Amino acid sequence: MNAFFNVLRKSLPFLAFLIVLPLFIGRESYALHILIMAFIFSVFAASWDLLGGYMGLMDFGHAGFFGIGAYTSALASLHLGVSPYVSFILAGASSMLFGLLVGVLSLRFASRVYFSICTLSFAETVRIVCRNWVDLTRGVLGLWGYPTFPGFSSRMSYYYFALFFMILSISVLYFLVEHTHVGLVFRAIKDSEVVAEHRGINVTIYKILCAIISAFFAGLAGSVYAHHILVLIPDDVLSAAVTSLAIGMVVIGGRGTIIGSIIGAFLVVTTSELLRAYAEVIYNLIIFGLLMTIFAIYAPGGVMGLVKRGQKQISGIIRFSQK
Amino acid sequence: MLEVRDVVSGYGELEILHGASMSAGESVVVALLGPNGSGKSTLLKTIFGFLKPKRGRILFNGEDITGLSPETMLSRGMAYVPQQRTVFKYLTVLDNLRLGGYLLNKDEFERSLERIYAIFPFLKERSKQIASSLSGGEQRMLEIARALMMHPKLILLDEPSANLAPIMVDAVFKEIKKLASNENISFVVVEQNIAKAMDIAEYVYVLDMGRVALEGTHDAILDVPKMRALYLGS
Amino acid sequence: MIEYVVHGLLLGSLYALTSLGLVLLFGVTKVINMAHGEIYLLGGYAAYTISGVSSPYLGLVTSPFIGFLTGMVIARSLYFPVERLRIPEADKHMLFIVATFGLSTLLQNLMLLIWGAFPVRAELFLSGTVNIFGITMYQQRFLLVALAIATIAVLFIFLFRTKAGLALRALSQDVETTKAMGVKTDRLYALNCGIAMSLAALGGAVVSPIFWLAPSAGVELTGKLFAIVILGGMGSVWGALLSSLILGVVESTSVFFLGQQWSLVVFFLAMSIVLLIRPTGIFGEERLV
Repeated sequence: MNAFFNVLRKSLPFLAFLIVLPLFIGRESYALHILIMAFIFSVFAASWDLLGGYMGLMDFGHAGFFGIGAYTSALASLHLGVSPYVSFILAGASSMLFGLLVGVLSLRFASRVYFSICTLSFAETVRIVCRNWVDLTRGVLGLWGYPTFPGFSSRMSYYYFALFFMILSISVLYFLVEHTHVGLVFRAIKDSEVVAEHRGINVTIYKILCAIISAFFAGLAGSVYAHHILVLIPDDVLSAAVTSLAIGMVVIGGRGTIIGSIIGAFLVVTTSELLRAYAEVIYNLIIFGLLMTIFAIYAPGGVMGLVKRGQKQISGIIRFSQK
Repeated sequence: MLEVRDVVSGYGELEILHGASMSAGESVVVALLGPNGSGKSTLLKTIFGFLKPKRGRILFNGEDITGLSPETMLSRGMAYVPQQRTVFKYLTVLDNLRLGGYLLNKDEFERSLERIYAIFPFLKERSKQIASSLSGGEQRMLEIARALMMHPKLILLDEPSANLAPIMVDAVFKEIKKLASNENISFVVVEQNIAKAMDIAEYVYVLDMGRVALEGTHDAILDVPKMRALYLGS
Repeated sequence: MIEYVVHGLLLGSLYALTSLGLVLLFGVTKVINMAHGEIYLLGGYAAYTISGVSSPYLGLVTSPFIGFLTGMVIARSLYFPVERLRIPEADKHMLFIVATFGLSTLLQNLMLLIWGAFPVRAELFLSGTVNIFGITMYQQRFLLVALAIATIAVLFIFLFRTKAGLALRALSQDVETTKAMGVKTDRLYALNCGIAMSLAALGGAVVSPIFWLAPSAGVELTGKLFAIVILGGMGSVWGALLSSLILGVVESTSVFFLGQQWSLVVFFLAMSIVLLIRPTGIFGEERLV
C-alpha cells in the first residue's frame, strides 16, 4: 500500500502540472487536444502492458478492442438513445466480451503464439466488418452525429474528464498488478508457467482474465476517444497502426511497468507533434517503427529501464567517489 | 589418449563436479558408474565441450582441449551419444547417417558409409526407412553408427542401455565391445546398469558427489565387496 | 461451379508460395514473422517498379533476390542479437514477435513514403487466354501459377537433395542434436531467413500484375497466411500446401456469394473453427516436411 502512495506522491508534480496547464494555454487550444490524445493512449497502452508486460502475452490486435469500444459507445448513444455515460460502460462490456471470445479461442494452448496470431486476425476482421457493414457503421464515410458526454462539451472540460479518466484507470491497473493477489499470479505465470501450474494455479483462467481486463480498459479508452473526436472511421481506430502505437509506446516507455506506458504515450504523442512542424507525418511513423524495433531488441526495458540503469550507474559513481 | 585432470564443472551457479580425474587409453572400454546426481553425465558433457569447466584441464592425444566447442571435438576425433534418444525420428536412416557425416566431403562420406554398412548390415537394408520405424535397440545402434561416421577414436556414451529391453541391451553392448577391439575405438560409457557395464569394461571409475570415489581395473573392482554385491545384485 | 474450384486452386497455389516462407521460418526457428505481408508487398512493389522501367521478367527475377537480402539483414540485425541473450527461449520468441511487428510498421510506412497510398498494379505482360482442360483462363495468370508451382518444386529439391536442406529439416526436429553433428546453425538460420523472405517477395512479384498493391494490405494478407498455416499445422510444409489449396477454393467460392472484401472474415472463421476442434492443424507441429 505504501508503495502505491509512494508512486502517487512522486507523480504529484507532473499531475499538478497537467491540472494547471489549461489555465495558461487557452480553452480551445490545439495543445489540449494533443494532451487528451496522450491521456487516452496512456490508458490504451497501459492496458496492452497488462497483457504484454505482466503476462508475457503479445496482443497484436489491441486496436480491435479499442475500436469495438469506440463503435459500441458511439452506436449505443446514437441509436439506443442512452446517455454516453451508459454507453461508456457498454463499451467496456462489449470489449470485455470480445476479449473473452478471443481468449477462449486462443489462450487454451501452452504456446503463446496462437494468441498473437489470433488477435491480429481478430482486429483485421473487425476492421473489415466495420468497413463493409455500411448500414451499421457507415463504413469509411465515417460515423458521426452521436453526442458527447453531457457537461463536457468544451475542449477544456473534456481535457479534465480525460485526465480524470486516465488517473483513475492507471491507478486501478497499477493497483491491480502490484498490490493484489491476481496481479501476483499474473507475474508468477509470466515467470514460469510450469511452476505456476504445479502450484495448482489454473493458468488458462488467469490468462483469460487478464485478456478480459485488458480489453475492458481498451474499450473504455475507445469510448473516451469516440466522444472526443466525434467521428469514427474504421482505419482510424481499428488498423494495425493503432495497435502498433500502443505496442510502441509500451516498448519505448518500458514494459512491465504501468508507468512506462504513460511515459511512452506522452513521449510518442508529444514528439510526433513536434516533429510534424518539421517533416511530414510519414517520416514520424517511419522513425517510430524504427525506434520500436530497435528498442525491442536492444533496450527491452524501454526508457524506464534505461533510467534505472542510469540511476544505478550514477549511484555507483557517487559511492565510488565517496570512498 | 584422454586425460581429465581435477575438473570442476556444473550448470551456471550449480557446481556438480568438484574435481574429477580420469583417463582412457586406446581401444579400451572405460565405465563411469555411480548414483544419480554424482556427475557422470556432467563429466561427459564437459569433456565434449557442451559445458565449460570452471577449473581443471582435459587433454586429448596430448593436446589441451579444455572448453573447446563440440564441433572442434568432432573434428579432433571425439564423438558423443547423449542419454536421450537423438535419432532424427522423421528422417531416413540414410539421412541420419548423412548428418553424422555432415562435415565430410563426398568421397570421405562414401567411404565412411561403406564402412558403416559393413559393420551394421541391417542399416544398409533399412537405409530408406524412417528412423522411427526401427526398434529401440536398432535406434541406439543407429546413433552409434552415426557417431562412427566421423572415424572417431573416442566415443562418449551416456547410458546406452536406457529405455531398452534386456535383449537389445545385450546386443548393443556386444557391439560396443566388438567396435573397441576390431575398429580400435575407445569408449567411455556412463551406465546405471552396473552388471552390463562391467561385463565389457576393462577399467572402471565410480563417481560419488562429483568426485571419483573408487577406480580400478575390472578385476580389482570386483574384489571390492560392495561393488561385487552391486554387480551380482543388479 | 468448376470454374470457381479451378480459380480457387490457382489462388491457392499463389497462397502456397507466399505461406511457405512463413512455415519455413517457424518450422526451423520457431519465429513468427509479423512482417511477412509487408515483405510480400515489398517484392510486389519492386516488381512493379522494375517492370515499369524495364522488362517485367527482370522484375520477377530480381524480387526474390531483394527478398533474400532483406532476409539476411533481418537475420543479422534482429535474430542474432536476441539469440545471444541469456534469457529463456519463450522470452526470446516474444522479443522477436514484437520486433517483427515493429518491422511491419516500419516497412508499411516506408512503402507508403516511396509508393504512396494509392493502389498500384504492374502492367500485364501477357495478353490473351489459354485453354487448359476445357477451362479458359488468362495466359498471365497461368504463367504466374506455373511459376509458383515451379518454385515450390525447387524448394522441395533443395530440402531433400542438398546438404543445407537436410540440415534445415534436422534443425526443425532437434536443434541440439543437429548442432552436435557439427552443423553451423547460425549460417543456416540466416540462409533459412533469406529463403523465407525471398519466397514471400516472389509471391508478391508474381501477383503484382493481377492484384492491387497497397501498403495497408500487408496486415490483411498476414492474417490470411496465419489462418492457412494454422489450418495446415504450424510447422508443416505439406500442411501449408494443402491448406493453401483448400482455403484458396474456399475463398474463391465464398467470393461468389459474399464478395471479395469479406474473404479475411471467412479465413478468420475457418481459423477459429480449427482452433476449437483441432488446434494442431492437419499435419501438426512436429516436423517441417
